[in-house]
Amino acid sequence: MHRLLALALATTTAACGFGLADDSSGGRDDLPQSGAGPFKKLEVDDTTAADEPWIATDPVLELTEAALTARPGGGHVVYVTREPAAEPAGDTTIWRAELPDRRELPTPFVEVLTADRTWEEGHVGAPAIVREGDVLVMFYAAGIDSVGRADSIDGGLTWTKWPAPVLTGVTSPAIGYDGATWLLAFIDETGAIGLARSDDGHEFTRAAAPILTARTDDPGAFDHVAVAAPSLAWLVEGTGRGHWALWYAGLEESPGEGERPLYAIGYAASWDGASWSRLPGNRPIAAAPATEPTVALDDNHGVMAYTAPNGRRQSIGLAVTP
Amino acid sequence: MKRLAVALAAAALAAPQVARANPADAYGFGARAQSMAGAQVASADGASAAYYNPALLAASPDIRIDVGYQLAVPRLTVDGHDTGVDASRGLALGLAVPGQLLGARLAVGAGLFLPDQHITRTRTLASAQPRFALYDNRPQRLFLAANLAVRLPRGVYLGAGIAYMSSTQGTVALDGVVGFPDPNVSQLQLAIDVDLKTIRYPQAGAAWEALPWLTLGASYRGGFRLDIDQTFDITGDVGTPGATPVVPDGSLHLRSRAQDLFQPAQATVGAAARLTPRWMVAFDLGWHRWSVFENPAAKIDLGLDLGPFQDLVDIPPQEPLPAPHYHDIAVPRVGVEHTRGDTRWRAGYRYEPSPAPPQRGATNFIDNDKHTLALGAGIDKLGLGGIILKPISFDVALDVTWLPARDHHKILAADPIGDYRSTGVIVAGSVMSRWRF
Repeated sequence: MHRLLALALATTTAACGFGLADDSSGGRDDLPQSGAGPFKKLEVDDTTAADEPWIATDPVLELTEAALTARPGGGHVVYVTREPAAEPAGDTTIWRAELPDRRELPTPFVEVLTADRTWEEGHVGAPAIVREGDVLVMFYAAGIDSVGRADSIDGGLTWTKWPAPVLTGVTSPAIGYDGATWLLAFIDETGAIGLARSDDGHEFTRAAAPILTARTDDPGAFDHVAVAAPSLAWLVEGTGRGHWALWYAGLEESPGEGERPLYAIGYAASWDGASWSRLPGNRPIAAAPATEPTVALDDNHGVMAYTAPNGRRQSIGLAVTP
Repeated sequence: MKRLAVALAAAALAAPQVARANPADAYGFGARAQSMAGAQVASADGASAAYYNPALLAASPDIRIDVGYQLAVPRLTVDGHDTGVDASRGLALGLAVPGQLLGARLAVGAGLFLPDQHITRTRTLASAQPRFALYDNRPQRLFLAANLAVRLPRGVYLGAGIAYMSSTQGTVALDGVVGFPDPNVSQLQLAIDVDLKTIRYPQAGAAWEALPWLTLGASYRGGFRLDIDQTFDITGDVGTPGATPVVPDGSLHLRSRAQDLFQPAQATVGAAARLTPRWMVAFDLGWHRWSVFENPAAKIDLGLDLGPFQDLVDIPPQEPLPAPHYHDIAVPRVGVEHTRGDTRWRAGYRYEPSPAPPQRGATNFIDNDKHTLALGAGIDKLGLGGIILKPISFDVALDVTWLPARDHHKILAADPIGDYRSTGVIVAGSVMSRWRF
């Protein structure tokens, strides 16, 4: 009994006197989030080697339409659409770099996909990438209004294209895969966000109606004028239940003559891929100027790459959840 | 004597409908009580009766002083991540002083839990931010209560008391010229008016020694909530001092009203049966009125007058705060005490169902059911060297509260937080010495 008492006294004293039970954060750490952010652009930090918020920027080239995937060993792999200076205007290629630590600069970008098929008409871009087993599967915009597919078995260093487009008549593809169903979001002929579904990733069937259109009846909505640049993912939450997450760019006001459109980024989601709802309210989850989002979620934290002007050129920036 | 009893009862009933929000509610008060899972409304012994049932302060003819230390360390997780809910620890003190009045035994008593991290912490989180609502701030406050008890004929005890807390009301006012475009040339006069108002809230109890081996008890504590009312006012011109102001007579008015430290009204009935000279069993059943719990997030009133620039600013009104829809709960507790010589071994179990519904909508006031298993021991030592003649009791307690996993499935796929799973464990311990004079 005396030993018990002494042990209790010693434990308690140690706990209170030496900080073993001191305050931690008070309940704010590692809170769940569904992908809805909010995402805050990285602020300039002179103590890092990075060029916050930019991860891909160039004084001459236009860098747009990024895709983020998880990098083995930590960090992310970044794919961007690049408009080469030496090619005719409008011709684009897809480049890849690794970003092990966002406080550092990414590795040098390397070209991984060029428009070498007739139907690609000199243009490949807007990569959207998912993992199917050991294979990375990329859907990309090709030509004026086609979507192609390419596969990689070496972590995205090299890609094998499929011979023909998997979908035509659409632009700006986004892909999600839940292990059984493939959803391909895109911008349709009317400027709305549409959806196609596939059981095998080969043959897609378009839904009859778009899933998201501009909120023309809400002048205060960030997407009052237009929606654009979808990005799609299947997210499994802590309970094991999953949902389809859709990030997209929204335009509140039409730009004046000679002005760039000022997009912001919003969020919508669906349980079944058929019925979609926007985040309550009419505010964006990432502030303008930002468009062409791609999001990588790591447990309770999210990283978004977006396109925004940096000087006279479009560049790729990073935004993160708290 | 009847008048005295009536006066005590009237005092208890006339007091406002409130009671306590304190660490004792969450983790118990005193090592003996904690090791019996809080089944104390008919079995409290010593100064811990100041918390569990004030009537039992009059049960002992001795002056009682309890001094102890309590510690509770939670590990409450959401989706497997520790949410960092703070530990609660502090000094637990109790005092009971008996006396005689009109032939009846009276006792005055006091209970104090003095946290050694914060005297009291209040914190207002955003309405949608996930938090373990019952452990966010509730265990992080001072508890102070004073009681009066009387022993009536036929083994009847009555007691009542009040506990103290303070609410905060404050205004920060700035008046003068707000420098623009150079804020460094601002000329502002600052006035701060903060009022810490005392809140008193009642507790009352009764006990009856129905049989030589059986005591029945009942207690009541009202509900409590801390209102936090803060106002921030800036009035004056905006511009450069001495020049024509850019905004003449501009103003910013911000008022934040929030609630914190909510504690439900509680009514408890119980019995303590000394089945044999060695074995005592106690059982409590409490009712906790969580149904009046309101959204604790801040209600913001914002007024801005920028004169000619008013049209450039569009501040949308705050959305109404969604109701948490908590419900009342019944909390059973059972405790046993085994006496062997001058040592006592104790154990207890408490089941506290969650008052919170699954968090399927806009709120994330997380809570789970709670199963608490408690163990403890005590030893009586004879007085010290002839100075303290009566036995001194040393008690230790250790309890573990398990919060079984609970899934919160959101209605909206586009919910900002999404689905999550909450679970956790709380380990609490205490040591206490109880002195008799």
